[in-house]
Formats: sequence, C-alpha cells, structure tokens
Amino acid sequence: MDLRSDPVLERIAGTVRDGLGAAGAGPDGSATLAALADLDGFAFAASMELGGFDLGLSCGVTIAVELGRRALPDVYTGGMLVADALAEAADDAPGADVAAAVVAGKQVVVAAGLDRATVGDAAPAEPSPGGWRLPEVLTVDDVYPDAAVCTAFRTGDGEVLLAVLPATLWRPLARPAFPWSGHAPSPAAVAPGEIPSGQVIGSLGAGRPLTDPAGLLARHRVRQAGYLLGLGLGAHALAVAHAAGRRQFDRYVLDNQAVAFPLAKAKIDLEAARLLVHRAAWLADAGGPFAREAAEALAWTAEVTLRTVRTSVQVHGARGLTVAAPVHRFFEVVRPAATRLGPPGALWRESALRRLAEYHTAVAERQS
Amino acid sequence: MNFGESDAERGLRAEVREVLRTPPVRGALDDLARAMAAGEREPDVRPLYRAIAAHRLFAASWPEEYGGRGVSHLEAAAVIEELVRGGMPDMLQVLSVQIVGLFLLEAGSPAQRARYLPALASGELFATVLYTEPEVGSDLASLRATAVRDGDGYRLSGTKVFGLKSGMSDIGLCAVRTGTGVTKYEGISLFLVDLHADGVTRGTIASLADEQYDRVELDGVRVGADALLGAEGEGWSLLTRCLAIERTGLDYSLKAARWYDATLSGLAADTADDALLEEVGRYGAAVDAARLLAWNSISQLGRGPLDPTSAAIAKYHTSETAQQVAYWAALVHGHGYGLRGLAPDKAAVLEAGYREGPGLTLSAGTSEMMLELVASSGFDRPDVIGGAGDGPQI
Ligand SMILES: Cc1cc2nc3c(=O)[nH]c(=O)nc-3n(C[C@H](O)[C@H](O)[C@H](O)COP(=O)(O)OP(=O)(O)OC[C@H]3O[C@@H](n4cnc5c(N)ncnc54)[C@H](O)[C@@H]3O)c2cc1C
Repeated sequence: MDLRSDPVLERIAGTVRDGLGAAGAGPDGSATLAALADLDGFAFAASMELGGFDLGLSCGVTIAVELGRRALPDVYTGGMLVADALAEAADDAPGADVAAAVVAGKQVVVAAGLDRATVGDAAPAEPSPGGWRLPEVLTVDDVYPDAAVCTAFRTGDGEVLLAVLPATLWRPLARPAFPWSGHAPSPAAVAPGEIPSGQVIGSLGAGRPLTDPAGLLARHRVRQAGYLLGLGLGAHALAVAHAAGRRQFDRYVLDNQAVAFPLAKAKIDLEAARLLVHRAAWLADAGGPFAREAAEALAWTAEVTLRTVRTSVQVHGARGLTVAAPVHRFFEVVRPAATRLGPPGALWRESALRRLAEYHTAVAERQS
Repeated sequence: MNFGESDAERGLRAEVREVLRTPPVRGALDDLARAMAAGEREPDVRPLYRAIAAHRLFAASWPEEYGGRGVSHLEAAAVIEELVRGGMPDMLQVLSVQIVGLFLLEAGSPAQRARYLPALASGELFATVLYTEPEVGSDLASLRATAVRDGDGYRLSGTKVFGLKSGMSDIGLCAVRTGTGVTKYEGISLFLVDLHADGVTRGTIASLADEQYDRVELDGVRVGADALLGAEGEGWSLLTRCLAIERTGLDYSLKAARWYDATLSGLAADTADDALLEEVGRYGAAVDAARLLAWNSISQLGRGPLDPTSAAIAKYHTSETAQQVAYWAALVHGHGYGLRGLAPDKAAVLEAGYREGPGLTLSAGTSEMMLELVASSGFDRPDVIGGAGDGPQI
C-alpha cells in the first residue's frame, strides 16, 4: 500500500472546488448543477459508453466530497447511480436517455427508497398490469425542481430492483422540513404511484446482505460516504476558523483544550474516514470485492460526520444556530444524508455478518 | 493512492512466511511459546530475533552495507506485519530498529552508523530509549539528567524511568541537558550510552503489563565525544523528528488487529445479538482504519521528514483503537473470558491485551499530547485530497 495522495485526483478536486466555489448555492441545486455541468463534472466518473471519461469511482467520490464540503445540495450521487446501472446500456435501453442526460449535466436524479429496500423491512411492491405499485410513499431530498427519482423497491420474491422515474411520474406531497432557513435541501415525501416495468434499470439482488451483483449499491454507498466526508470536513473547517478568531476570557476560544480536543478528535476520525472511503473506491476501481468496505465507509463516515457537525455547531456558540453562520446548513443537510441509505447501525450489522463469515472461512482454510 | 500490494511487498511477505517455517526460527518461536505458557511474562526474544535477522529481514529498509536489503519503508512494513502475524513479539525490534536504528540512520554520523547499524540489524546489539524521568513525562523539554564535559568526552548523570527492555539492551538513546538557553528547548543533547558501562545501574519497576518498566540510573557515566548525536545543545529538533518516527502506529495497529481477531474467534453470527453485531462491525472498521492510518504515515517515510501531525493522528487512533478493542473483548467474553467458549490461547492473548491496553495511550506520547499536536498544527492539511483545503466558501 502506498497511500500518498494521487496527483490526478488532487487536480480534479481542485478544479471542482474552484468551480463550485463560484456557484451560489440555491435551495434547489440549480446553481450547483450548472457549476458542475460547466466543468463536465458529471462526465468524469461515467462510462465511455455514456459519453463519460471513465475515471472511476475514486473520481466520483472526489466530486461528492467537494459538494459536501460546501454543504451544497447533492445533485450528483443519484445521477451516478443511474449512470452506473446503465454503464453499458444500448442507446434505446430503458432509462438510457436519462443516463445520457445525467452525464451531459442536464438531468438531476435523486435516489429514494434505498434505506427501506436495502437494509430495512420494506413491504414488497404489488405487481400491477404495467409494472409495480409501491405500497408506501418515498422520501426524497428536494434538491431540484425537475429531478428524476431513482428508487429501489422490493418485489414479492425478495429481489430489490432499481427504477428511474422522470419528473412526470411522481409528485411531491410535503413541504420542505426546514422552511425557516429557506435554502436547505430537505426531505419531501413523494407518491410515485405506479412504476412501469419499462423504467426498471437494474437489480440490487436479493438476500441479506443483498447480493448486489453489479456492485451498484456498494458504489452508491461509497459516493454517499464521500458526500458525508465532505460535509464533515466543511463543518470542521468552519468551526476551526470560528474558534481561531473568536476571543473570550482574553484568549482565542481555540486555545482551550476543551474546545480544541474535540475538534482534534474529529479531525482524526475524518482522516480515518478519508482513508476508508478512498479504500472502498480504490478496491471498486481495481475490480476487487468491496461490499463490506463500502458499507463500513458509509457507516463510519455517517457517524463521524454527525458528531463532527454537532461539535462544530457547539463551537460556534449561539451564532451556529442562526442563518448568518454557514455551519447551520451542515446541521440541516447532514441529517437526511446520514441515513439516506439506511441507518449506520444496520450497515454495521451487515458488515459484521460479512466479517464473521470472512474470519471463520479464513480459519477453516488455514486448518485444512 | 494505492491500497493494493506491490509485487515486491507480496514477494517479501511470502519469503517471511517461508523463513518462519525454517527450523531455527520455528524452534525459537516454539521456545518462546513454551516460556509464555509456563507463565514467564517477558521471555528473552533475542534468540528468535537473531534467527530472523540471519535472513536480513530484521531491518529490511536499511542499506545493504548496514545489514538491510535497501527496500522501501513500505516493503519493510510489510515484512514486520508478516513477522508479527507469524508470532514475533515486536517490542524490542521496534525499539532497536524502528526507533533507535532509524534515528541513527537519519541523524547519526557516518562513523556512528557504521559502528551500530550492522550490529542492530543482525541482532547482535539491542537498543532502548531513555527519555522519561521521575519528574519529567509529557513535558520532556524540562528534563534534568545532565552531561558535563570531561576531557574529550562527557559524564552523564540522572535517572531515567519507564523505558522498556533496558535490561535486555546494550545501548540507550539518552536525552540529557548539556546547557541552558533562553528557553528550555535549548541545551538538550542526545547521546548513545553503553548500558554495560561503569556507573549504569539497571532495575525493573513492576507494571500491570507483561512487559516490565525499567529504571536506569546514570552515575557519572563516561562517554566519548563520538557518543554525541548531532550537535551539542541542539537535540530538541532531532528529538521531535525522532518522536514522529515512533508514531507511525504500525505496532499499535498490529495489536489492534490481533486482539480483534482473537475476540472474533469466539463469536458466531447466529448467536450474536444485534447490539453485538453492531460492535463487531464498528470495531472492525476502526481496526482497519488503524492499519490504513499507520500505512499512511509510513507512506511518507523516506520522502522527507514524517509530518508530525500525520504521525500524531496515526498514533492517537491506532493506540486508542487497540486499547478499546482489548476492553471490549473483556466485556464481550465475560468473566474469565469464559462466556462464549473462547480457546485458552486466545483468552490469554486478550487477558494480556487488557493489561497492556492502558500503556498504549501513554507510551510514545500520550493521547492528550497527540490531540495537542493535531490542534496546534492548525488542523489544516490542504495537501491531501479531503484535507481541509481553504475551507468552504458558502
Ligand atoms: C508502555 C510504556 C512504555 C514506555 N516506554 C518508554 C521508553 O521506552 N522510554 C522512555 O523514555 N519513556 C517511556 N515511557 C514513558 C512515557 O514516555 C511517559 O509515560 C509519557 O511521556 C507521559 O509521561 P508521564 O507518564 O510522566 O505522564 P505525565 O506527563 O505526568 O501526564 C499525566 C497525565 O496528564 C496528561 N497531561 C500532561 N500534560 C498535559 C497537557 N499539557 N495537556 C493535557 N494533558 C496533559 C497526560 O496526557 C497524562 O494523561 C513509556 C510509557 C509506557 C506507558
């Protein structure tokens, strides 16, 4: 292992960071979409068949980190899930038009239903003449007005399928949960109604943990972990900057160990997160198994980022709760992001089953 | 980043496994296992080390002229990982090769290197670290032991405590005061002391862990001018560099992995409840992260000085994780480690781990000092992807 950072990815991170820095973050992600599209950001990690540059999941993670770092609405990961599912699809395959639009930076996709369908106990969808009828409403992040939804659902025989629903096939039911701040991407319930079978674009397999034959779920988890990592890094940087400038008791707030140590601990946990996330992405790009690493990268990053954001808000004092302090955005955004693909506890249980199986298999092999 | 294994690493790992099967090494490992089973807490590892060193695997990253193989630090780390996984207790190797030897390689004069390095690499000589004093711990720059000029050499006096393996060692890397300056950081010098010399008295201080602490009294110990490392009075900057080298976290990450695996050996998926499964996953990821953080700092070795923040991050996480795993194991496996039918050898590993645990977050810099280092560096590492960058502009 040689873990010095990769200069190509560093350059991409810098380019994306600069590009996004110029974008004003709006409530609906339009500015973020435009800035990322301007850089061809949606093409970097997508397959050549879809018009992408095929730079791999490590590159996708790098982009997701940069979005999170500014608490920008996640206009990226849902689209990449669709692009992954259709990486090698023919032009006329179901959903191929959506995937192509995603890669061209013209279509935002938000993922939905992955928590209940992948680690929870979602009721199966009912077969209907044209496809399936979902038994429950979905929760999606309201990041873009005409977003398509990529939803996972469980069928009667236990398989979990992925379908893509253009904006015409779903409608919002609820208002944003944080109307007061006016610019946070927030969850909304949507009623997809019927899912036409022509909209199904892939399978996440069956069983527990899901077999995920094409690694679609694992890849999506790693990107999500990247977004969360960015959120943690961004909130942390704000807290350090605030504490290094704010004076109380005739000294900088950061000069107190009771303030500095939780921030140092968060820094260490985030550094571990960075390595876990990039390891999972690297394994995926190298073609190795990475399902456990992906689940762990996500669970670790979700927990660490929640803690870091909480610490960062605390370090800001009362200002941190106001719209004037940018850290408040991280507080809003991290909650849905931390559980969008299932609560960390469920991911840890999944990883434990894999670890115990790996451990006992290795012991048995050594003994035979 | 490359999370895979290079061909060279893979080759070295295979060679180490082969060496571990050779009769002299196997025999020494068996002797060690017998001594430990008989209740000996700190058996003599030197015969084992010499058997391994005969294959030039003990200090593999050192140049060939000094008894190494000239391989990269990463490849040498792969060798150590494999040796430890194969049952080699690493403490004396860490002290002699990874700390004192590496320090000599970086900061020693050509004559010092030629004199000591081949002997350390072959297991002929062993080295220990003499920094801490009864009144001086974290605030090392306040040290009181002295060296005063005596003809063309020096005489060293003072008391050094809490070192490990001083009893089995031949030389000590010793920090003393040779003068005073405007600040306490000036006037500190580093010497290599012959522990068999007149005026050196060694004793042990019993501790919770299997490895006992040592107490080394220096009473006017005479050393030549060639025992001085670097320039007189300018030892502090060398010391901080050396302390970073101690903190790659490799040794702690290996302990974390060993104790985690021992814990898992007594667990089965179908009898573990949800709460226990969550812990299996969470600690497993922490142990993996420990290894990655250690390798992250080793990746920087040999390419300029090791970034002290990176080392502090690795030291903190690896030692805290190993300690937590040992405590967790005690709870999971219950009274006498008997709750879930753990094999006796695994229970012994975990029991020793529980007693070793508290020392991990103190030795080589306490956890609090690591947090201080991370905090005082300003938290900013724009050089790495996912580093703080210039912060979000939102
Ligand atoms: C297993 C083990 C092996 C060791 N091996 C060696 C060796 O080979 N050679 C050697 O020279 N020494 C060795 N040591 C000693 C070690 O370096 C010291 O224990 C360490 O430097 C801390 O010093 P102290 O124990 O005197 O604690 P103190 O410095 O007295 O500190 C006591 C407590 O207060 C905390 N503290 C102190 N100052 C601050 C501060 N400014 N802010 C916040 N917290 C603070 C510390 O973190 C610690 O928790 C070893 C120790 C152990 C446990």
